[in-house]
Amino acid sequence: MRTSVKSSLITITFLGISLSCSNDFLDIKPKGALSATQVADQKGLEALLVAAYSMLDQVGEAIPATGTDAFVTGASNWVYGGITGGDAHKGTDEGDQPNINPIERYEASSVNNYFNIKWGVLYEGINRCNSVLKVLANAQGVLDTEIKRIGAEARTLRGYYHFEAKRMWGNIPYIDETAADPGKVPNNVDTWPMIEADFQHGIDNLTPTMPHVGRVNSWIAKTLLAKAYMYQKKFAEAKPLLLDVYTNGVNPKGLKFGLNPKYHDNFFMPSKNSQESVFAAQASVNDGGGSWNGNAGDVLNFPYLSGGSPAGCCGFYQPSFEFANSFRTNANGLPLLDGSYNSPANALKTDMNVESSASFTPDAGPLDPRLDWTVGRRGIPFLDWGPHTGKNWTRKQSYGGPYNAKKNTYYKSQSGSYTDKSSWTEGYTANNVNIIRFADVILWLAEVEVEIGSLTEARNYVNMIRARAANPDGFVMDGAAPAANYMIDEYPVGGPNDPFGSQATARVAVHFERKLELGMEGHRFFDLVRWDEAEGTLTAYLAYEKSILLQLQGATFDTMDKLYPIPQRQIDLSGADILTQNPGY
Amino acid sequence: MKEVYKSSIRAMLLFLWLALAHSATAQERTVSGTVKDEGGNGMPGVNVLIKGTNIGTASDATGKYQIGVSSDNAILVFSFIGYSTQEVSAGVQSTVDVSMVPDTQTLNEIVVTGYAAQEKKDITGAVGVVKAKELLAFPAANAETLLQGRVAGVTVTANGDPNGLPAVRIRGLTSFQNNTPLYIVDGVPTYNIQFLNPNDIESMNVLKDAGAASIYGSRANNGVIIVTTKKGRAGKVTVSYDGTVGVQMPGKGLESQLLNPQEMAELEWLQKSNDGLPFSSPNYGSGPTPVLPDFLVPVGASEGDPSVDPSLYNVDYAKGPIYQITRANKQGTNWWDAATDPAPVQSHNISIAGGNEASRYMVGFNYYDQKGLFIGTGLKRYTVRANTEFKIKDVVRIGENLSAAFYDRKPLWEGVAVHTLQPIIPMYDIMGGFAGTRGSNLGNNAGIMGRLIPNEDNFSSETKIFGNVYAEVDLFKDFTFRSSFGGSLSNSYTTRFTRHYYENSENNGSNSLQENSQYENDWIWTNTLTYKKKLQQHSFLFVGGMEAVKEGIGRRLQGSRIDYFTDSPDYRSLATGSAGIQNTSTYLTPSSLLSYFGRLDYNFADKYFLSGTVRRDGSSKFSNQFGVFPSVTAAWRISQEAFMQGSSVFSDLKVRVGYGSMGGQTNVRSQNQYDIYSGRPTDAYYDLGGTSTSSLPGIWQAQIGNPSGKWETKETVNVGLDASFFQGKFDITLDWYNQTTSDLLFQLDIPSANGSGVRPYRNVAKVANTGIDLQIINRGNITPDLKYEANLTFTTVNNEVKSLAEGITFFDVDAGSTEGRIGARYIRNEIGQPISSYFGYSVQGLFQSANEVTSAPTQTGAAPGRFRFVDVNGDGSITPDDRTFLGSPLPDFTYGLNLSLSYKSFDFTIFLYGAQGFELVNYRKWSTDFPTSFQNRKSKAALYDSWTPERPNATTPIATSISNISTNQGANSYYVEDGSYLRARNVQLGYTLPLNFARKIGMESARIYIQGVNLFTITDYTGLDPEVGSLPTVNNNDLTVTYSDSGFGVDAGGYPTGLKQYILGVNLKF
Repeated sequence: MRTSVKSSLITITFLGISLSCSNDFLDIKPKGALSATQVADQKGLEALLVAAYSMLDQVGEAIPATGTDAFVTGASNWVYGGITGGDAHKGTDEGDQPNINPIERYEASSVNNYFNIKWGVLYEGINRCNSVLKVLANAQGVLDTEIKRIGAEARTLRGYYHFEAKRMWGNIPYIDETAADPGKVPNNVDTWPMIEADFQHGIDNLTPTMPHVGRVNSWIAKTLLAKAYMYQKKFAEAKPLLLDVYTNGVNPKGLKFGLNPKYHDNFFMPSKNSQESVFAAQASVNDGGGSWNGNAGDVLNFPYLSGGSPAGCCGFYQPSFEFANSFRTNANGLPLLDGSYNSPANALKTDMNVESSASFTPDAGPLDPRLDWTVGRRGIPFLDWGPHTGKNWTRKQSYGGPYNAKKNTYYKSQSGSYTDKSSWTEGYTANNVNIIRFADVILWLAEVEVEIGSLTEARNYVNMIRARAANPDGFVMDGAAPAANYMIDEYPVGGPNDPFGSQATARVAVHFERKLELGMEGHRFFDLVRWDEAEGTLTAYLAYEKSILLQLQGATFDTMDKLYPIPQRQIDLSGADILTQNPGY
Repeated sequence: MKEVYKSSIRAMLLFLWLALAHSATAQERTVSGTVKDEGGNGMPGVNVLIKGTNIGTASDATGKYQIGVSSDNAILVFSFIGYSTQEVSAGVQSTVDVSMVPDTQTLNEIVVTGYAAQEKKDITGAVGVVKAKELLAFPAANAETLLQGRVAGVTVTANGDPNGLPAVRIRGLTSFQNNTPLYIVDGVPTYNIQFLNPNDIESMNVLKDAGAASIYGSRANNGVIIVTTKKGRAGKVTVSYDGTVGVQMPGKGLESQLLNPQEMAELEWLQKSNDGLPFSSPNYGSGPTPVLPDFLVPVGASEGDPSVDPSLYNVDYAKGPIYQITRANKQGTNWWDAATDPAPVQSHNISIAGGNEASRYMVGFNYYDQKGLFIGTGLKRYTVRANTEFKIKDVVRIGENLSAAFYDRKPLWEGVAVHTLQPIIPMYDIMGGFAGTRGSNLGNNAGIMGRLIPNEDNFSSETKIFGNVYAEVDLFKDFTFRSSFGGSLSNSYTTRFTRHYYENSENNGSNSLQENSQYENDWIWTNTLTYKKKLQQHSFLFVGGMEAVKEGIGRRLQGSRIDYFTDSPDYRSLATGSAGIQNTSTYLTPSSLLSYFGRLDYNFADKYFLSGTVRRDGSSKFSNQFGVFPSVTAAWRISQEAFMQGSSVFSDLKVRVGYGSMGGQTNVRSQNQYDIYSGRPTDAYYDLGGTSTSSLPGIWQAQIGNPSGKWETKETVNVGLDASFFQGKFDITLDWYNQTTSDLLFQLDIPSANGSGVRPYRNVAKVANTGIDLQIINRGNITPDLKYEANLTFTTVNNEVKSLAEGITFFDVDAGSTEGRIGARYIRNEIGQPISSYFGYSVQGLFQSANEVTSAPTQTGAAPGRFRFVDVNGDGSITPDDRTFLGSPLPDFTYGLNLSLSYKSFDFTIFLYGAQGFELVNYRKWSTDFPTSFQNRKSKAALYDSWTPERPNATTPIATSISNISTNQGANSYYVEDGSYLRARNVQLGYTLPLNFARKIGMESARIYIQGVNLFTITDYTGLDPEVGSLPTVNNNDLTVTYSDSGFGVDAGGYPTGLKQYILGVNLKF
């Protein structure tokens, strides 16, 4: 064999190898994944939209920084609306979730990761809405009516996520689907008009009924717009919307909105999505999503009994003394609007520093029955788990106080059917987070009437709420008898017990009714701020509470604390020229 | 890819044709003789080869050989490991006797580097060589561990977990994430050589600089380690058995630093007294002194209490509410002792090697069994290796290297709270059930026995086949064409059952079973053409080649169910669980690499050396697919100059200089360039229908792509010196290097406004490392019988982050996942600082009085007895701006000293390894030193050395239940300790049977030895082990490994590495 032949063969072989395969060989598409073009049809749009809805619980496994810490961000706002509003303490043990300690003391700095994670989930919600809208703009073969509906759902949700961010931070970037680089959108523009426009778009383009109860419809968009108005004190704009919702509103399945006959039906899983549920984050368990579609945000907020906790784990979100005391009623079944509920004579009797092995008799005085659907306390049946046994149901009573959260908990009989049992705790439940209940709408109407309308009307609205609460069928029962001395009545017309004689006292009554009715539902802090009452109320709250709990000593509420700090991390990433920190931080 | 296969067929046909076309003829006569060793005894097994041919034989048991030669010009080459190779001209003689001389100089050693083999003296790059003998100095599951302290510039952090992986770092940290070097095992690349049986390794050569490694192109920037496995040699069959049995001792843990039950109670009372709280506890009563209870469950019960009635006992959920009865262990449970056991380790290795002119083979079998420190954990590994090579017609060699490994793993599935579980808790309750934190105020840990014992029934198994087949053809006189196809196939299965706990304060909702199965395959095809020529004083070596690689071809399958009728191991299948049905699978995105490379080595008169390499790599991971990585090196062997001839000092002196660039792509995921939409139920599904138990599928953008990514590039400059002097008594290798990695791929965060999809890896950072690698070997005879060798390696690395992404000057890392507990991150990676520096408040002392608090800069939570921090910026207020750098986990230097002595038949080795000048974060202190950090076990420091007005000089803060940055929150210097250590990695005493005696009993050689591993460690570090590294994390469920070097040095309670082992071993050769 001649060398020239060999050489040329080798050359050819090498060339053949090198030329033939480079492009195909190095072109590997991602596996088990979709590209943007694959989702650009009706089916893809629907799925993108579901994902936008799925952020309503403000939790997702793969969302950076939430991961296993779903409880940081949950839609219930137990940290940002509940604890800081004075409804509750962080609770449990001082070493657990220490980032909440400075938040509870109004000392949190912009580097506290809790704010960063909250920011992350809300903007992920916004991002998902914009994903829908971007794809929608180029989608082929989708009916115009469908485009209209999908777009309106996405925009309504986008408005809601921005609204959540707006009331947390005040100065936020508004991101729509046209933003070239969302990370470079500044927070120096008033975003209320854009939020209102999103809701208005929903009102104009959504139908009253929808294929699923969990979607937004035109009535929900209207309620959300009204809520946005309430936060801006635009009572005149809010009033017609609220009246319309009150009079004509239906849920996406066509069910007319109304109050449930029994207060607790709002927190009882089999009756969720009832007539009173206007807008909720849906929760599901055992659906193939691990525990991530359950109410993961509240997963820590169950009593803590070492060895066999009733209803899950961890003992967080323990109602405050001040909050529990608020449920004291006078002999007429009316709340003590003068704040005297904290006086030694009126304060709720507690088992603070009483071992579970020692005997204890619960308070015998008159109480609003909603207390025992809101606050777990010793001696009172805790759903169907038997009576709360006091100190041993708290992780560290000297730190968190004697109470437990109750609205988010499940019944023992619901274990496995409405809870997920596959993980470290059973506290992942199918309990929806009530974002707006019809009671909310009624109390906003009362507010509006106090501010720009008729005090009589306001009284009527508040009394609707109180009348429902007074339904004895809805009391917590201990055997055949009410579990405590429940005494509740409607406000009378006229006389010394009627606060609706003047605007000032009527306002106190309406605001107080919200505290009682919607307590532990994550609204309180935001309500106090929008009423301009945060400084006064929370300073008084701290003064009372720190007289009992060591860890609040030295804490003060300052003007700056009405807004949370823009996460420093986001400022670092976007640039200080893009995101401006809130004053004082 | 179809074209690649076609090409491959074409190439194979070509080989066969070439092979058949070539033939050789010759006339032969026989030469015979005897090979003797330095003692004059006949030496068996010496290879005898006719130079320039592949004709060879080996000496017999008495040292005799005979070989056919075809020409009077034939030169016979005699070689034997550990002896100098001798070349003798056969001439016309028929008898050639040879005396072999032990090789003290290793200059003629053949070293495999990038796609070629060269003599050590010819090397121009920075290459560290480790031979089999050194590698086998002590038993280890992982061959990488054996590199520790052997090669200057290589740091190895061992992993005490038999199922863990050691961390190998060559010349510092280049990247924030994966700094694992590329291993080339018999030509096949991999990043994990756990499957290798260390006994099968012939040599490991570490290519440290670009001059040596850049021919591996885009994957070389963490360094390259060339692993060559043993081959058979022509000659008689040798059978060897190497066995060790030993035991690893758990030691005492940190028991001596921790409180007993009575002291725990006293600490609680001290804390209450400090806080002004009443003395009262469900366990300890409410008297002025705490009294330990008789029972923990029922809480606080005393002997004779009616609640302590065994007939009420129930720990079976199916039978009703749990009613446990747990007696307090007033003496205290030693949890370290309870959780650990002396762990036997054994290894048995048989290898059979041999061959003739036409074929050679090596077959090895190994059984390795190491129990873990914690009961019920361990690793069993079975490996088989078969390396063979066949010669066809003298010019074609076809062979394969293949290993099959089977692992049976019992990992530590979940951490156990050996240092934080309260000692008053017993191991078992009164009926033998597991005891835990059920009770009151016993903390949030899980009971230890209830985790370890049931986990013995869980396992993870893996089969891995790794190797290659190759053909080599000598084309003309000086050309060799080689084609090699190799890769790996791995399959694994994991089954893990979790009990329905009843004994803990936080119990799960049900029992559950999780099973995982996966396969993952890689392949590589390499073709090279080598031209080697010597023209008078000019020597050339040229290698040109191409390579195609595909990696990460695989899928994973996972399922789980809950609510098993029984905990019985025999019942566990996915089919038998009654609820919670979950199943999922993952489809891995493979990556491919297509490469062309060339190498040219030239030297003149063995004096002047010049070498250049270039590689062009294309990768599927980037849209800018191709990158080019060149290097050039030169050396001057001064000792060959005329003026140095006859030097009584230097027998060899060489200076080397090299420059080059290498690429990096290990830090980037294969699908990085793409936007990815995904529809996992956990992230995007939603129950629109309000059903409570089902959800509708959603799709979200799960990944943000980076279409403009490109290679990392590491440029290195290396200046080196190799010297051998005083007749080989001293060898010195000294290298100085400076290397800068730019366009570092890092998954830097972006604003959340861009969504939450997985962040793309972007080319954002620049990191520089400079340092010195020094190796000094001194050997000689003290008396004719007493020989010694001292081998010192010394390594320094200075690491500095040079730049990060535009506008970013630092990023913080939550190392050890401690942020959820202390509310801060310990680690900051900042421009101008080394990677993974500690960052936090600097503790100035403890506040002594209210007056001091008032006069000091304002500080949140300040109070007497609490931390007082340094006001770094002097603004009169302690704010996050006062945080400062508190130390670095990167040592100033590391060193290894291997000292061997041999006296007649005895040999003794001691190997010391140390790291000096670095800090560790002893995170355990957060849990043990502060009563406010959960109700777990506390330290003696918390009780006896915590501040009170009577103890003003205390260094531990006051015992309190207040939690803020002045007590137990925030990263500060209280946790930072000096980590420097010196460790006796290996002490070994061996005895070799006299040759005559060994032969009488049918052996060629026999050695027996005893050995102690980690016999002592000198350190001031108060944690369990100062060898805390950036260890890769192995996910027990799917065996995936994750790396992060951006945050390490935080001792969050990992597996200790420095446990003592005692071993007895034998080396037998037949």
